This record gives sequence, C-alpha cells and structure tokens, in this order.
Amino acid sequence: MKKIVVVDDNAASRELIREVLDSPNHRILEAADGREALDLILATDPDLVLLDIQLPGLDGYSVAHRLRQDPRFTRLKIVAVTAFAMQGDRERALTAGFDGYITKPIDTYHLEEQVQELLHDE
Amino acid sequence: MIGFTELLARQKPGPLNSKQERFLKHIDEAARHLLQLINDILDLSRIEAGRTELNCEHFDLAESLGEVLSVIKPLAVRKLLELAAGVPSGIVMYADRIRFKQMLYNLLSNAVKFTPEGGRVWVECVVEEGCSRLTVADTGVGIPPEEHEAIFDQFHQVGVTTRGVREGTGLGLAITRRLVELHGGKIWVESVPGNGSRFIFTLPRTARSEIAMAQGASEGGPA
Repeated sequence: MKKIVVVDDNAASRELIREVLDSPNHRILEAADGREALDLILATDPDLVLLDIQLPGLDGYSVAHRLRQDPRFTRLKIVAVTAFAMQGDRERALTAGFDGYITKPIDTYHLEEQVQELLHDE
Repeated sequence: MIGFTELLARQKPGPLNSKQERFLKHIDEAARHLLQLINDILDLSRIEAGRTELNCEHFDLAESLGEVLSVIKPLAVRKLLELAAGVPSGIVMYADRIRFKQMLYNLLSNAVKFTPEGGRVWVECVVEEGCSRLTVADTGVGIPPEEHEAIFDQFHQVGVTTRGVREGTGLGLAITRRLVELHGGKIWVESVPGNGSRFIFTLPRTARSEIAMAQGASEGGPA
C-alpha cells in the first residue's frame, strides 16, 4: 500500500485525482492548502505528493522547498501540478526539486502512468 | 472539466450506452476547443499588451524540431500523411526556444489540418546571410492569393478552401506572426489553391550562433 498525498485548493481537482488513482494499492490523503499539506506529510510520511503550484498562502514551490530541507523528505517523490503550461514552468519545476510535472487539465492516462512510474507499481 | 469527461469516457464509474458515449465525445471536443480558444486569446492578449518577454538562447535546431515533430507525428499518422524534415544537423539558432517551438507547432498543426489524407508535410531550414529561413510546407488545399495577408489576422479563417474544416481558433497564425516579429523576423505564405502552401519565416542570426555552429562542425566533424 502506497500513501499518496494530493494537494489542491479545488475540491473537484482532488476528487478527479482520487478517482484516477483509486486502487487497492493506493491510500489517498488530501490537503487543501500548503500548511495543511506540510502537516499531513509530516504526520503520515507518504510515498508520493501531487502538489498544486498555485495554492493560497504557501504555494507549491515553498512547500517543496521546505520539504527538501528536511532530511526525512529528500527522497520523497513530489510531482508539480499546474493550471496552465506557462512558459518555462516545466523547467522551473524540475529545477525546484520536483520529480515530475503534470499540467491541468489533467490527462488521466498520463497521470496514471506518471504515478506508476514514480511508485514502481505493478 | 475535461478530466471528468475523460473518466466517464473510460467508463471507470460504470458502463455507458452508445448514445451517451457519442454525447460525451461532443462535450469533450467542445471543452477542448474552448480551452484552446481561451489559451490562445490569453496568449495573444499577453503578447499585444507587451507582456511577453523573450528568453533568447542558443540551441540546436534539429533537437527542438525533433521535439515538435514527436508531438505532431501522431496527428499526421492519423491522417496517413508523410511527415519529413529536411534540416541539416548542427544548425544553431538564437531565439526563445519555447516560443520557437510554439511557432513551428502552430504552422505544422495547420499544415496537418489542411492537408488531405495521403498528402505530405515537411520542414526545411536554410541559413542565409544574417538570418535563418524556415519553411513549413504541405500538399494541402492551398490558400487563394487575396487571403495571403488576411490569414495572419486574428480570427481569420480561410473561407472557401477549408471545406468544412473549422476546428481551429483562428488565432494560431496571428500568434505566430507576433512571435516571429517579436524576434525581429518576418513571416509570409506562398501558395496556389489546390497546390499546397509554404509558410516561410525568418529569424535573425547572431555572431555567436555562427561561432557555435563553426565550433560544432569542427568538434563533431562533417555533419
């Protein structure tokens, strides 16, 4: 059982990701903003975080940055999820310590693939 | 939301009958078209407002072209089109790489869209005095001479020749022209109706891109 934390301020987006990744091998946990995400990740030590970039308050870049400074989370898989493919976002995300990058609207096939790859699911 | 439409179409939440599947396909197509339209309008208005900064850098043409072709390839395959690139290796460009790929993508996706099944779409590049000249050509329906200027205007779509093809937003060429001009280049079309089109754009070259090319040639031997 792999623990996946989904961070997005939009409840519909979280529901979509939860539906796509719904499987007996996954336990999906949700957070609606950056602070909640940090608390949840510290408390549950997940295998993967799907992190929206445009969050109220503490944004995705700041959350990733804080996680990477904690020795327990240097190897945690973090995937950036962002609303539109803004110029240079992909490059920025990959140099900011993210392991992957997904654009919205979410391609459900691509999301499944990326998650499987990162978790080495069977 | 496109993601939920996709989930329904994959019948994850339960089976659909054929009518529901067809309706869902219409919703999906309309949603994607709207998204494209909104993205294009936002992009164009950002450029018009002078909010677009170019991050110019030197890069390898063949590599960037390859990335664009890999996205276009499935669309070409679906229409049984031959997709080719006659670009010599080792050409170093100086441009905003992401925007450059956007220009090529816009021109190539148009070419694929307006070329009937079994046709051919190809890219050429020639390095001239002070500029690189790129051509995206096709064996498609062509464009009448009186529309050669207007096609670069916002929302203009070629009337008679498209024969019902109206899947675009009418903004792709307007965006491409602005991007080419932002780089200090020019874009135009050469076309005879029924005999394909050649979209040609130029981008200025820098002294450094010439040096980088010469170095690449001496390091890598003859390309």
